[in-house]
Amino acid sequence: MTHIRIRQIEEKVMRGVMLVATLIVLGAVISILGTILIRGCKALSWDMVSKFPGKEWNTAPDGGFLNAILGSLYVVVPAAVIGACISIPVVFYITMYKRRRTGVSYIIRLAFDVLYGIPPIVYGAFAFLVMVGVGMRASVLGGIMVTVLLIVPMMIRSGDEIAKTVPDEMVDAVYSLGATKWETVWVVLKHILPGMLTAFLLAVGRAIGDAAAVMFTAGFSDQPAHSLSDPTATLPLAVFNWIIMPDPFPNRAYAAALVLTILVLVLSISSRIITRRITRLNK
Amino acid sequence: MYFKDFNRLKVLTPLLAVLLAFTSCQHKNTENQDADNLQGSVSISGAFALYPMAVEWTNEFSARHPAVRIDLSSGGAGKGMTDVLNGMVDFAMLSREPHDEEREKGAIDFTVAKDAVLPVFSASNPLRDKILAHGITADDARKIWITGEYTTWGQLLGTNDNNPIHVYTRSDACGAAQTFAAWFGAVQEDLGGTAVYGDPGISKAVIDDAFGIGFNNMAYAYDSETLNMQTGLEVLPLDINSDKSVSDDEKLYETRSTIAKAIEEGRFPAPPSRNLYLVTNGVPSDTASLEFIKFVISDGQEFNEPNGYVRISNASARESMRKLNGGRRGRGLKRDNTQLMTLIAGLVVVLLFLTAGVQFLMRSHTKRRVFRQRMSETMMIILSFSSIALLIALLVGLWGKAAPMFDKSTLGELLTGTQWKPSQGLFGFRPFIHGTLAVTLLSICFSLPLSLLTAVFITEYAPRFLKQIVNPALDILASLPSVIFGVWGVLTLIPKFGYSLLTASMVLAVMVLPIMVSLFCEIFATVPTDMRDSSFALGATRWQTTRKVVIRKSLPGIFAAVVLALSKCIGETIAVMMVCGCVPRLRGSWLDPFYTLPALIGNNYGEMASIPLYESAIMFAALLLLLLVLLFNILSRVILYRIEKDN
Repeated sequence: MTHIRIRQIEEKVMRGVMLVATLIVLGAVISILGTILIRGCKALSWDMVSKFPGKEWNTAPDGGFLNAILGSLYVVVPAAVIGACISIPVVFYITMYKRRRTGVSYIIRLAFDVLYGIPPIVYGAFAFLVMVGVGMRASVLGGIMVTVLLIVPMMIRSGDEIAKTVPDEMVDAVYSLGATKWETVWVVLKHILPGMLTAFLLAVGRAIGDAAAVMFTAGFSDQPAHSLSDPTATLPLAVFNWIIMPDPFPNRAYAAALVLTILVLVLSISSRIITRRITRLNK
Repeated sequence: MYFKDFNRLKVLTPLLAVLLAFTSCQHKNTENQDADNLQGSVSISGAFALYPMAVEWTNEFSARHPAVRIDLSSGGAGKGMTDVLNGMVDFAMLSREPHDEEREKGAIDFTVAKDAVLPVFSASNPLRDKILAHGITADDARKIWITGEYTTWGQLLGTNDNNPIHVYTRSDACGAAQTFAAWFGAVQEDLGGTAVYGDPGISKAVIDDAFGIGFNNMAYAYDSETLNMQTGLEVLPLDINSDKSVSDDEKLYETRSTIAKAIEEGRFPAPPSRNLYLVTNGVPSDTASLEFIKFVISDGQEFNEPNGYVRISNASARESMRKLNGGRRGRGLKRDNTQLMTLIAGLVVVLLFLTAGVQFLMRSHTKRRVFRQRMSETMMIILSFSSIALLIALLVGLWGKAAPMFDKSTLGELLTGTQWKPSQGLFGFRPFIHGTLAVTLLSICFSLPLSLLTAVFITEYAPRFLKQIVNPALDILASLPSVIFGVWGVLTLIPKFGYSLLTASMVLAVMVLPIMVSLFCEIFATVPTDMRDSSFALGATRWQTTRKVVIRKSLPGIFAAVVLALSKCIGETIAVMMVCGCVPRLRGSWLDPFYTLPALIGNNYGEMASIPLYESAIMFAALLLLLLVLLFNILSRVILYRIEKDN
């Protein structure tokens, strides 16, 4: 009898502990979002997101950080497009061309998994080495290069998962009609495209928030970038730089942090909506 | 099929045209322009100290020559000397004496202004008036920053006050710290105290900490608009004649103009006053840069005093002009191959299209199909194997740069050495490895129980509505960039726990929480329901079932997830840099600042070129990090592979 009592008490205690743990996790989320929202909303103004830095930028509220917002987009969007062009063929290669589990696709998967785990700062240091080697300056192009390195393993990882959902029967059916592997690709592509779109958005969201990699490669500038060879400010780096500077910079950092958060959340939420649509359609 | 391909080609051709147009229209011809419509671009990066002044010069210069684009960067991305020696920018702003090694590499320095580094303390210090009357001697400063003999304000003032002195110093290699340390015959790496990133970082930390003491460039100790002292900050007067009190002729600090005047007239010792330089790699060979440096040395000087900097003397202006006329020409200073790279990328694309176009020459339909198949397969193989090539390039590239380290010391010495004094050639990585591992383990200690309990709660216990709250919340957390976690740490945790191991590991713990929870949930979901049911049927409670069936069954998976989270923590840079305090140390409590490998790389780019082997040391840190992460990744991969096999 007592044994059962003890078990029941244990059950209740553990339930309580778990509830507390879950509440702590929720509390952390609320604390982070709350901090960013409250500080950010106080600091954010329309000027900040719609204007370039003005003449008095360093001492007074003059102009905004549109250059950083645009800079982030200039770096990340082309990088994501190039990333997609590289990673979709690789996904096809490891899932279709080497369809049955083979050594080749295992090794490639392993390589990309390892690349996925490499910290952005190492990519940044490496890209800096390469850029100095070929005589490039800190520029949008440098930022794009390093962001591609960052994005490709991410997209391949998620693309690989998506490609697993393609039914083998479908591929076999296409082959049996006499199609080459390349022609089969177009059939499969239709099937995985929405999934790849999700992966694309998620990768953009990850890449846009990363400061460590672009720190050495994209540089920083108060001027908007006009060409691929101009250095540019990026949002996360702007937050990092400004938060420790004297007024009026910290406020800009909070505002930039809010803008960055909103950007990332919009990307992640839209990708989730797409995923939900797909799963509903597949049902 | 034929028409379909033709259509595809029609879509792609304009795209290609746009790309080519984009690459070809960015010529930035800087030669043969007369000064009136001067064109081109000037890029400057480097020291915080000169930044506000450079802003004035560039504003004025671009008013005169509107067609010149000027890129000015400072702080995290402004690496100054490294950049200029590597040809990444035209000018470096430098706030210390250039080293001989740098001059040998081709650096030419032009003195453009003067200022000083001043000791500062918080205006909210209860002993403020006493401190202002007492002043500080070089010897006092040595006892505070170097030997640590003075731990209370009483010791400094010669009273028995027991309030502790909170010492702040710079975390990034910088001229301010070097000049300041030179005042009492030391170098930056000897300075003790909590290290904060950047000049503004120190003034902010000191303003917020009533018992804080630090040092600032003149530009940041005073408000740049009013030239009065920054609100909340007090400059600690230098007791130049060491009489333990600040006499009238030592009261130089009222506004930035008064101190500037004192420096100009030589009433303030050097160091801590110093020259500020613009450094080029050889004499600028393009008109825009040449005009800019001429402007700064001549007409630009009249902006120095209104902005609280000291003018350069006529003698040093003449000296600079002589350097400009007689110095070695910069050999391809604008070694900017960015456009060339763009062109190469464009060429690759064109080549691809040409090869793809070959198929249209083929008459036979079958041949065309086979050709397409072969082409696509080759492309895919190249792309797929480029991953391995990239991995090898990473390892070889970093190894190649790090190799010079091994000429002087063995691997064992590097890994176990405890001294980090680059200027003496001492590169001990142990404090950094120690810090990295400590923060990683501590953060896992926080997040593992939390995430495990949460995951169990979500999968086994929680009512549906709670799941619908927790899951999206975790998704949001997972998508937030690390810099946001850093901001959160700075705003909510630092005021409570300071720059410390505890703060950093809490930030990291929250960061890896969503990854771990979602992985755990996935793993728990793979445990068959039948197993749970049979456990229930035997009379086990839910918790017993969870503990003895679900968790036991998913133990290898849990282990793999933890390893994954570990490797994420090890490599985290930005968030840790913002909260770690950047002090390399081996022993210390939870509440002491520390340093990690990624933060070391992030912080020290600025000084890489100035000290022999420094660059190699940083690259060695990157290599070390890479190897650590590789190790963890392969470990988790092997475990996961085992599990898959078992299932």
